[in-house]
Amino acid sequence: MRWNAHTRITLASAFIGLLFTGFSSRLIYIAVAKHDEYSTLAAEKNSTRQPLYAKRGLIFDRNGEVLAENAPIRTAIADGTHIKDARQTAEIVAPFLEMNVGELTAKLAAAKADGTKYIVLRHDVPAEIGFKTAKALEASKQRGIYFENDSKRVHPNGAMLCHVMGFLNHERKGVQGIEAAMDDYLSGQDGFRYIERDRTGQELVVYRGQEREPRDGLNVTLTIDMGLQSIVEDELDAAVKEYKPKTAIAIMANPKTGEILAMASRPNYEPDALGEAQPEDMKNHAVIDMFEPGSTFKIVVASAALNEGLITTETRINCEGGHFAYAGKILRDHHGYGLMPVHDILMKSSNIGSAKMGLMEGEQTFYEYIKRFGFGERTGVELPGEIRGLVPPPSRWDKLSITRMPMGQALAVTPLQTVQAMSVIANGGKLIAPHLVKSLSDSGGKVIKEFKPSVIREVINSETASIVSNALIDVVSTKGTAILASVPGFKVAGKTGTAQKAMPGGGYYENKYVASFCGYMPADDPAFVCLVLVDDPQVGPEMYYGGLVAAPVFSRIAERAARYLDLQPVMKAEPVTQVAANRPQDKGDAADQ
Amino acid sequence: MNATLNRPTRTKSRAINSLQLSRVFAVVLLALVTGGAGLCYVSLKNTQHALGDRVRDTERQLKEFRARNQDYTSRIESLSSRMALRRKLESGFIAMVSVPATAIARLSPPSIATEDGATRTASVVNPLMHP
Repeated sequence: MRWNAHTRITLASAFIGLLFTGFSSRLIYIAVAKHDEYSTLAAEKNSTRQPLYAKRGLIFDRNGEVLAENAPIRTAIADGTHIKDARQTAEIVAPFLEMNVGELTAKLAAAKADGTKYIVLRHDVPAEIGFKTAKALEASKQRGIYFENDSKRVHPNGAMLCHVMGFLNHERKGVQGIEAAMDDYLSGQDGFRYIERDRTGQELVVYRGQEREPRDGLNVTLTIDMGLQSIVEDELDAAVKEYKPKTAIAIMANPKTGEILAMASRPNYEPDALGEAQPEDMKNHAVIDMFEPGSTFKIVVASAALNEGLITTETRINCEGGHFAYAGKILRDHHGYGLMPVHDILMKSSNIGSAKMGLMEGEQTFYEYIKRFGFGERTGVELPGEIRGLVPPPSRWDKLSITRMPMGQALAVTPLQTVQAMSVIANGGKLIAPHLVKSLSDSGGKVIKEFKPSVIREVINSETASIVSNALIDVVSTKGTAILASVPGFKVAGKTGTAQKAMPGGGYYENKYVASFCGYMPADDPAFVCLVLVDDPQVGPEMYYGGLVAAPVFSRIAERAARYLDLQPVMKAEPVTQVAANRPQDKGDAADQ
Repeated sequence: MNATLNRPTRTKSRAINSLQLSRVFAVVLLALVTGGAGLCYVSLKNTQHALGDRVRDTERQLKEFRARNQDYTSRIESLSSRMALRRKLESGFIAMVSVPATAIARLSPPSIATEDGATRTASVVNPLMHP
């Protein structure tokens, strides 16, 4: 080979060609073969997944009044790698965040020294303060303090309806009430966006990657009417002030649809100041507590006997003059009654008459009716933690059970179950599931789902319901046990209950009672059924009866509700007769102890 | 004469690299196009980044406005809530004046259109009584 210019050019070209081929091969290897590895590395280094938070849905009452909403707040954080002058930054930020300048300086200086990228300085910073702080930092050309968007749940009506509403935990998950029961609908779905930042930490919008928009939570409209709720809460507060009970409960529902119009329980709590609340205050006793119902339960045994054709309105039952010996025990009535029809047994709240109807029905039939009225089963209301109550099957009954259960002893029910059962009488015999949620709608107000009344079964025929209802109308009269539940101008039907409190280990407390009244109004075409239950009222001797403690509360609630609902009076308004004159009747339902 | 004869004769004209204008023009054009394309790319990229910054700022402003709107809405709700009105009532800031019975004109309750098929402008019916 001749070493001439041609050779040298060829060799040089070949060398350069090989060199570039080598570079190209390496480039192809990096760009193609190692693509996934390096792109992952690059993504880890520069790209971050930015969460896009969904807005939690709001909660409204049936008339559109806001019950729970979101207020924007900020969380102040510091990025140590972005801080230029810790002292100066702290001096600017500290007054806004209400922090000590010295402490904040130390914190920021430590973050800067360690290169810590994320330190939470303060939670719950009002949005307005966040804006002002950011502006002040920008003006002084300092950086390293950022504000993350957050929001908190606000309840404009404070403690009103707190047990129904529930609250959120620190992860913004519903813990109790509607917030927990409807959490899946309310919380929506957070979105995300992959972003890249420049060296100053600013997002490079051009390099935005995959993105999913957040889906805001649905708004929940309740069946609650805040006008009625306000009335119920007022009167319950007045009752608590007067009787100083352990707990007090009031529930109002529409018997034709099962819609719960108001629900209140005492003690209660302020949902925006959870730190001050005691665990006992947070319990919704309307669904998580059970009580022996007492005489309100007599509607079940009477309905069963009438519906099964075992008795008619004419049938007279011997009430044994007030003393009835059965299974070695004496069952007493407060007054000695002789032969009485079912109407009078309910009106006078005769224990012996009720027990005898239970005996006529037999254990199995009576048990079936108890179940058909919804006792011993959850109502399915949209509240977490609802209990079934306690209705033992006949196989676990003793000899006395068939005479004690008809008058509401030896079993336990929840207040909501009592309302549901009374609604059966009020609506002509149908068991309708009580519910709290009326509809779900999106943020634009479009209704996504509407909850219709759900008839579970026909418990009794309408004729039976009418007979029992007529008896319950007379309960709220001078002849019955609950004259104090009457409302001038309106026909009211209802039943009192006074039950001695059961001890956890068996037996009953001597001087502790649960006084209740469950009724509906107007009796002929009920707009609402309402239960008032006062647990362990602190009253004088012989004053603890449902007719004396709970009935007046019902009357006040019903009277105000009638005005609110603009119900037309059907009778000439007459003043309620003197209380003292009717007290012996009021005690009628207490003789079962 | 001899000296002249002995001098090497230059039989050919001096070798000159001729300038091929068309090729130069092509190269310059290519360079300009490439350079221009590069500058355009950089300019577009800068514009894109500048627009991106504006998008980011606009989004931030929107977010701030939304947050403020939500904040004010929340405050309005709290100030006009049932509880707030009650507090104002109790403090005497507002008062309720009862309407005397003589000032109330009671009309007979209207029947629902669906009951008789008649078309009316309004039929105020208590929804609780007629679900």
